[in-house]
Amino acid sequence: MIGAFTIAALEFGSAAMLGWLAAAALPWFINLWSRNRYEETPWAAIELLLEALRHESRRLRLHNWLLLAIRTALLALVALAVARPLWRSTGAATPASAVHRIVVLDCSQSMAARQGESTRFEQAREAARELIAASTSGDAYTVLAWGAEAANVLGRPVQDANQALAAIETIDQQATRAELAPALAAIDAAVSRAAEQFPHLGSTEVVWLTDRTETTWSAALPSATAASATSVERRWRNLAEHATVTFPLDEKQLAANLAVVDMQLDPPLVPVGAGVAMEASVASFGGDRSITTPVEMLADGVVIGRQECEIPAGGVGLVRFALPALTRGEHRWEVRLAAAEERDDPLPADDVRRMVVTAQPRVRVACVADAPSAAAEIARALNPRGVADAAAPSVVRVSTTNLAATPLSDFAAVALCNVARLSDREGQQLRRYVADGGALLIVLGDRVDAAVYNRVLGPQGDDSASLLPYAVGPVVEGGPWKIDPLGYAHRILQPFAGRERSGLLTVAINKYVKLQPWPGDAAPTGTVQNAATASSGDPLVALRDFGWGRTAVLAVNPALRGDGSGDSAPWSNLAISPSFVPLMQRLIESLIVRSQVELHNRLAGQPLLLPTRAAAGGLAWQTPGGVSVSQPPARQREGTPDTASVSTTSAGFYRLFAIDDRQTAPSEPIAIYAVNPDPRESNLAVCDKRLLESTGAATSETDDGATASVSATLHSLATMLLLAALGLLLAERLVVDRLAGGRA
Amino acid sequence: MPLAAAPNLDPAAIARLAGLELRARHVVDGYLAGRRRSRRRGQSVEFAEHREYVPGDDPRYVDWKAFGKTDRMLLKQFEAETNLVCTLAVDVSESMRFRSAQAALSKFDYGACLATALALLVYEQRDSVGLFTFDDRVRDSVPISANPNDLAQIAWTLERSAVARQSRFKDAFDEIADRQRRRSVTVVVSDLLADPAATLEGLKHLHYRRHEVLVLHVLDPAEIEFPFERATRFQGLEALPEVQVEPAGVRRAYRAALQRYLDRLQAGCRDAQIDYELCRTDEPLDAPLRRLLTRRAVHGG
Repeated sequence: MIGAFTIAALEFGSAAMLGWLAAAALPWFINLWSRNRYEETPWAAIELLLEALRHESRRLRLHNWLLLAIRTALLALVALAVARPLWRSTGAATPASAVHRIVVLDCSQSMAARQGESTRFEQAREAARELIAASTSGDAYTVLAWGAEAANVLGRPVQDANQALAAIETIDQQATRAELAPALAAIDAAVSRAAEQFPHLGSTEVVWLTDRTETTWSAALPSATAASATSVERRWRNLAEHATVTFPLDEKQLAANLAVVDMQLDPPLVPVGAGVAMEASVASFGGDRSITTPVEMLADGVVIGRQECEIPAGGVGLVRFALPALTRGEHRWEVRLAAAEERDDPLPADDVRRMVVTAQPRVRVACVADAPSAAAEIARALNPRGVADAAAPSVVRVSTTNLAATPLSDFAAVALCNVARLSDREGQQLRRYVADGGALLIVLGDRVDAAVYNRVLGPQGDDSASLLPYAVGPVVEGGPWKIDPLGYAHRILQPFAGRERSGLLTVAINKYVKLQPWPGDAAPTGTVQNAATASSGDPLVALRDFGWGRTAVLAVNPALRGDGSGDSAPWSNLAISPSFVPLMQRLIESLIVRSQVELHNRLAGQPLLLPTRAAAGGLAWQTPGGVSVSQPPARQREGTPDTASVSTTSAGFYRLFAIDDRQTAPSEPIAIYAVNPDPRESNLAVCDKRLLESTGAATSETDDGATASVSATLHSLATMLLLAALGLLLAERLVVDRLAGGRA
Repeated sequence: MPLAAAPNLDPAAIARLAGLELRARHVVDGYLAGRRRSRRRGQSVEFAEHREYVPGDDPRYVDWKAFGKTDRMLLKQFEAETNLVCTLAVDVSESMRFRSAQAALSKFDYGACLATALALLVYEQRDSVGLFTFDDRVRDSVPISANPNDLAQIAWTLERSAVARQSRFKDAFDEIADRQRRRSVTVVVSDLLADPAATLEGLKHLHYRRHEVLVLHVLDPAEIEFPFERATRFQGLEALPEVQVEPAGVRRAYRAALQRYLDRLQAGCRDAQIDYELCRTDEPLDAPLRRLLTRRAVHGG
C-alpha cells in the first residue's frame, strides 16, 4: 500500500491527510477552554438577567449544540477533502457523455518485443484502432506518439474519428526510450488545448497503450528513499486525479531477453596502425538460467570474429575481440548476437550494437608554456617514459611566442601550461581549434593574468560561447586543502574509485585559482562538468563542451619549481603523487574522445551534431533505412554546433554527405554516426499494475489483451466535500447571527 | 418647544466638578440659562405674612409701608411661595453605585446631583426642602427648611452616605410617609430595581398620605441596552447571585424583560397618578429636570 487507503469503493489519494480529522475535535476543546475565559462586571439588574435566562436557556443550549455540530462537521469535511477521496464506480463506461480521449501510443524500443504472433507495438496500434472505432460521436481525440519525445501527431484535438485513425497509422516503431516527463507535458498541453477548443467536453480520458516497462514507469511511483516527490511523480498524481487513466493492454512476462548493452575500446583512442581491443557487454534480462550464445564482431560490415559468450542469469557477460590495425578515418564496428531465432529472443532489435570510431595518427599534444620548465610536469605525465610508440602520446613543447604560428590542427590536444597572457588572435585561434573538435587543457598558475583570460577566452557576446567553463578568479591561499573526487562520478576519476593507494586523496593543495561562474551565463545543461573540487568546494578540474571539442581547466598548478616570478613555493604536491600521471592521461583522453568517439555514437532520440567543417555547404543525410534527408543550411554560433535535421528514432548508422553545386551526392560521407537503443529499454520487466493503481490510475485487463474499454472510473469527491463545507460555513454564520439576534 | 441642552451639563463635564453642591449649582445655572421666562409670573399669589429682611433678598418684596410705620425691613411673603414643601428621597443602596463604561457618573452620583439641583431650585423659589436617604429603611435625613443655607446640609448628607447593601422600597417608602407630617411633593430618586409590585405599593402609600409623588427612575445606559459582546460573568449586587452568560444570546430576551418591567412600573405610576421620569445617566443632567418641570408647569403642579 503506497500512499492510498481504501474503504470499500472509497479511496483516498492522500491517506496521511486523514490525520487532520483529529482537528474536528477542535471546537469541543475551544468550547471547554472558553468556559473558563470570561470578563467580569458587577450588575444591578441581575433579576432581569435571570428572567431572560429562564426564557432563553433552552434555545441557547440548542444553538450551542448546533454550532458545535456544524463546526465539527465543517472541519471534518475539509480534512476529508484534502485527503483526496475518490469514488470508484465499476462497469462499462457510459457512452452518453462526450470525452476528450488522449491516446498515448508507446512506440519505444521495448514495444518491438514479440508477444505471440505480433509485436507489442502492433497490438497497441490495433487496440488504438478499436478504441477509436468504438467511441461515440462527439468525442475528441488526441494521438501522441510516445518515445523519447511525445509527438502530438494531429497537432490538435480532433472530433473526426477517421482523422484519428489515419494518425494512428502514421506512427512507426522507434528505437528510442520512453520518457514519462515529456509525455506528461504533452498530455497537459493537449488537455489545455482541448479545454479551449471543445469547452463542452465533460471529462478527459488518457489511454496509455504501453507495455508498462518498469524502467520507465518506476518514475511515476512514490520513491521509497526520496524525501519528497519528484516532478514526474507529482505530475502523474495530478493527471491521475483530474483524468481517467487506463492501461488496456495485457502485458505478460516474456522470456529472457539478451542484449548487447555496451561496447568499449581499449584504449579509448584508436591510433592509426595500432591494434586495439573491443570489449562488449551482453546482458540477460529476466532469465533464470545462464545462457551461452555466439557473439560476432563486424568491422565496416565484415565479420572479423566470433566468440562464445556465457551470460549469467540476470547478469552481464563480457566478450573481447582483438581488432586489426586501422587506417586513418572513421570505422564502423558492430557486435551482434548470433542465432537469435534459436534462443527465441523476444526483442531481436537490441541484439546488435554499433560503434563509430575515428582512427587518428599517433596522438600529438602541444604543451604551450612561457618557459620550458612550466610544461615539464604536464609533458612528463603524458609520456612518462618518453618513448615514441603508437600508444603513448607525442608531446611537443611550444613556446608562447610561437603559438600563433603553430598549426594547431596537427595536434589532438593543446595544453596551456601557466601561460601568462594570450593575444586576441591567439584566442580566436584556440576557439576555432576547439570548435573544430580540438581538445584544450588550460593549466592555471601564478603567471596567469585572469582578466586577459576572461576577456580572450570568455563569452564573446551573442557570437560565441565561453571557451572557459568558469571565469578565472583570484589566487586562493591558506591551504592545505584536499581533492574532493565528488564520488568518482566523472569518467576521469572513475578508475580511482576504491583505489585509495593511488594517492589522489592525499594530495595537499596550498594554492589554487578560484573558478567562478560567469555572470548571467546560461550554459546548456551538461556542457559544464566538475570532475573534482577542492575540499573548500571550489572547482579544481572543470570541463566544458565547445563546438565539437572540449576544454578542461586545472585550477592548481602542478609545477614543482618556481619559474622566476618570485613565487617559488609549489602550489601542491600533485606532481609527485602516484595519481598525477593517470589523472593527466585520463584528462587529455576525455577531452579527445568527444570529437573522436562520443559525438559519433549516440542513443536513439538524441540529436546528432553537425561537424563545423560541414556547415558551409549543402548537406544530406542517409538514415539506416536508406532514406535521404536534406539538411538546410543554418548559421552556427561558435561553440554551439547545429543539430541534424534528421531524427534518430531508428537504430543504425547515419551518414552525412556534402552536396556540391551540381547536386550530385559524393560517394564518401563526411561523417558517420552510430545510433543505438538505450540499454534500459532491453529490460522488459513490467511495472506492477497494483503499484500504478495505488497512484490513482485504473488498469484494465482482458483475456484477449486487445480491448480498450474502460472498466473502472475514479471520481473525485473533494469538490463535493468542499462545497458541503462551504454550505456549513454559511449555516454557521446564520446560526451565529440568529444567536446574536438582539445585537443591534 | 424643547430646549437645547447646555453643553456644560453633560455628565462627563459634571463628573469633572468636585463637590455635589458645586455640581448642583452648575446644573441649575445651566438650566436657568436656557429657561424661558414665564408670562404667568406674579399672578395668583396672595399675601401671607412678613418676615425679616436678610441680605440677598429681592428688594422688590420689601414692604415699604411697614418700613415707614415700624422702621423695620420686612419682606412680604405670599401664599404661593410658602405652601410648597419638597421632600427628596434618594436611594443609597448598593445597586445605585453601578456605573458602566458608557456612563461618566454612577446612578447614585447622577441621582444625587439631580436631587441637589432640585433642592437648589426649590430654595431659589423660597420654598422648603427636606431630604431622606434610604435603602431598606431611612438611613439619614435633613429636616424640611426654607433656608437656602441648608443646601450645604443636603449636599453633605448625600456625599457622606455610606454604601448600603440592600434596598426594600416598600419598607423605606412606608417609613418616609410616616415621618412626613406636612403634605409635600416627594421626589423619589432611585433605580427601583426590585419587585415592581412591592415598589409600587410603597409609592402608592406615599400617595395615599396625600403626598404628591414624583419618581426619577435612574438607569445606566448599559442596563438599558445590554451592549456586552464577550462571555461575561455578571456579579449580582445587593447579595444577588452571579450569572455567566454569552451576552449575544440573551440580549434580546433581556431587553424584553426590561421593557416588561418598565411597562409595569410606568403603568402602576400612571394609575396611582404618580409622575414618572426615566433618566439615563449618559444624558445631560438638565434634560430630566426640564422634562419634569415642564410637565409640572403644564399640569399646574
